[in-house]
Amino acid sequence: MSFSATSWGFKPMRILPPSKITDGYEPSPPELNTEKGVLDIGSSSECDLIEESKLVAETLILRCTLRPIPYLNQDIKVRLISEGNPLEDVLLYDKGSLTYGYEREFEHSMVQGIALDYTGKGRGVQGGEAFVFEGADLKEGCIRCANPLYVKPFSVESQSYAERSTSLPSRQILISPPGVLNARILRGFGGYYKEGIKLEDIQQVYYSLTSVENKTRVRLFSSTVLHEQHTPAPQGGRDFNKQILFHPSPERHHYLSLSGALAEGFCSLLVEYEGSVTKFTSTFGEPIVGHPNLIDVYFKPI
Amino acid sequence: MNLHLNWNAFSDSTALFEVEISQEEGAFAKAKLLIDALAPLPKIGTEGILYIDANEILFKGVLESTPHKIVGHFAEIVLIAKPVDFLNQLNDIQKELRVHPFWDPLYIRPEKLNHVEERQDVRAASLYCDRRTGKLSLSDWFNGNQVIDMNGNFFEDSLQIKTIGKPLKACSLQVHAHWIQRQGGIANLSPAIRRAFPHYKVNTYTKDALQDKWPETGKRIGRSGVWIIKSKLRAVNPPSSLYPKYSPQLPLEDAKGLIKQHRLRRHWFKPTLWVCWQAHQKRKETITFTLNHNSYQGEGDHKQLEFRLQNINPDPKSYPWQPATMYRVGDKICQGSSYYRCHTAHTSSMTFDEKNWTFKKKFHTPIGSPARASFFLNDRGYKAFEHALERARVELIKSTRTLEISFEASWEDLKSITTDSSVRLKDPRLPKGEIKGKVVKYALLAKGETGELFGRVTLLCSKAQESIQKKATKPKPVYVLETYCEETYQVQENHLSQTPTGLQYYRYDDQTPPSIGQGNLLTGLELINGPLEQEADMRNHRTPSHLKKAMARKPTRLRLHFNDYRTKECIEHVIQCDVVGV
Repeated sequence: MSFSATSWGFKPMRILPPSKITDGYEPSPPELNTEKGVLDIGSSSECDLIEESKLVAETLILRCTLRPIPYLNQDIKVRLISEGNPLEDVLLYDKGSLTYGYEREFEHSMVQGIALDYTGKGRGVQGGEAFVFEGADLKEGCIRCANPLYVKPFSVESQSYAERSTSLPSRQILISPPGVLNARILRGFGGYYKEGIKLEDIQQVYYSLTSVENKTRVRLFSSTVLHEQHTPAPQGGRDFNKQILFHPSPERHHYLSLSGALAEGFCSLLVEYEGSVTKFTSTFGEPIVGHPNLIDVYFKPI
Repeated sequence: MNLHLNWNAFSDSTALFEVEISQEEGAFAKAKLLIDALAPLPKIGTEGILYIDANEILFKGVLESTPHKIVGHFAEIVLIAKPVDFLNQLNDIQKELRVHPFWDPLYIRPEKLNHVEERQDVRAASLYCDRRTGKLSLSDWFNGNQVIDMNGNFFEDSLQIKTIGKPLKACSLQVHAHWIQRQGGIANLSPAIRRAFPHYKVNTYTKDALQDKWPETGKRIGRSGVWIIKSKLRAVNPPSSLYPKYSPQLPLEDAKGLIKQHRLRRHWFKPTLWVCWQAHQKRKETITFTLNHNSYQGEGDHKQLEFRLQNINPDPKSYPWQPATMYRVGDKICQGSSYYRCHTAHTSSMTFDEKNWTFKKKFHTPIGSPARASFFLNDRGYKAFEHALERARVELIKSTRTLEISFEASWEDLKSITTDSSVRLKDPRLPKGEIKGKVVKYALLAKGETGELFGRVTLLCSKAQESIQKKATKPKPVYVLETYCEETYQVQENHLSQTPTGLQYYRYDDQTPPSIGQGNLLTGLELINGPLEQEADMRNHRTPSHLKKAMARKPTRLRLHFNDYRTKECIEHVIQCDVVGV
């Protein structure tokens, strides 16, 4: 036996098998994003439409102190010139110059104004609900007002005054100024105020000139009396045989009482809210029981 | 000369009548022996040593099997020169072989990565196991460790010269990387929404328009990859008069025809809107190059090879951490390049808070960040490319061994030959009369019957030796001026790099891939019928009912446009790399 020629070609035993090229990695499809992202936020919706008058308080009530402002110009003199003869002049604001016919206290009638000072406390009503507030900040908005909140003015004599009375051949008497016949001329003297009185009694007092024993005398008239005798300011009227005339004709805020002026809205304030300004005017003044110099002033928006 | 076989198991040697020792490149040596059929044989696997004379070892191997055949008084047995510690040696050598650029795990299936009995590296060398010592080593395809100078000492008529194939002129490679690119993030859109409105606050005259449709947390915005993670629209009362609560005055007629001032309520809100987005995109990146064999231009074929890498973005089982998500104890997530395990049940906030998590371990993926749009442009990608270059180089080198020379010579001259030997021959029939070749196959034969003792050898030779070409170019910065930024950030043209084996190639940093979802998450924000438009319109109506109807038709709306994260079927990117030839 011997090895055949095929021995040259016998199958060798490889140290390691031949390496093969292996398949690589093929990922499975990923989670797909198939859309472009658009986020829509919004839907049909109603709006809140509000009447502006309902945006702010329906009523504001401001607590105020009453502060009389006395008239200090005591040197004003008045004189009556009767039939061309000047009578002796007198100081208008002197008790000695008065004559009969005036029931009120002279010393409480020389007020040129009543100031209403806001105490910083108030109440209000909005949407039917009451609320209280302090200072200027309200539930909605804030108050813009002057200090004092309001001064109720009264007409006063600001300079010396002379009145001429001349009998005419027709037996009529010419009063000048203003140049009228058979008339009593009433001029503003000042306001009447006394602590604790009713608000409607805080009112204008007038005077007229007369002669007593060749001297000029001052006669005072309260608004109440003039009203009772149907000769109220500003139109006046006839009292017995004389015409009652106001000269100069008084302005409305002068001849109204404090309660009248408040009722007529002479006192006002502004409420600023969201860039808009609402005007509130006074409607009523209410004294506070036990506090003679305090009142509540009621305001309504206009 | 006396040949005898000693078994480890027996004290007496076994008489031999014929011996044939043979080996091929990359294979174990074999000894086919003719012995007395009655001679005792040890167990299969027993080591036997073939001696020349007293103590010169010719072969050491293990008994492969029972006798292959028995004819008359003789039996044929085979020993294989596989050492008993083969696996240990292989393990040691594989550790040395599996290094860059000769080895890249991305070219190997993951389940085979730890296989020691698989050649995974790419070199111009074969594994060699010495038949006498059993030592495992690498043997270069062109230069054996031992050079045998035969000159003309071979049997003259045995010389055979054969050309086998042609050397490759070039090898082109395409390497593909497939992966799923994962991008994502969170964004707070509240500031952008506020900026869209006058006064930089959300406000409108139609309150419910926004409030009713404000998106709920968790809502997905279609299949866009965007969803809401935090959302709220809270009505507020602005403290300052700069933010009006009402419209300007509107004079409107009531039923009686009276003009009354009205106003529309203006509603103010504080918006909260956080969104999360995620985009998964299948990507395929291919790097392609051609390695020319400049010594063989005009000859041979142009080989094309194609590889597909393993997963460069592994870790499909872990979940990235997400904001505004409920986590239970034991949940596992990955955040950054770390794994965590939840130790306290919680709902995550907008940012990752490590206090609820136990750090488990770091992980690295070839792609690095899963958000990357390119693999081959990063350092790991360059390594994978350099490995591909080695593969091409080896293909070219292997193809150059085209000259096969066989010869026979005396036993004495060839008894030390192995497949780790190179042989130098001289003969006028050889090209240029002389050649040096690497032994790829040999057999040593001793025939007792005839007394013949000779060897038969096959060599493979290449006509030209490998020479790596070198170029020298000056790189030109193209990203910014030379001194403007650190070198790491610079992109250069004509920038030559070199593999550890000396192959040169031009860097391809400028061949960037198309990206997805570039830019801001929010690409547009439309305010439709904003409060100013509504104000302009509300002045045109005379009655409250007309105004209300008009406003109902003009509700404030917001439209947010997000970046386009739509998944494309696959984004492909091809990188062409220029390589200096060999």
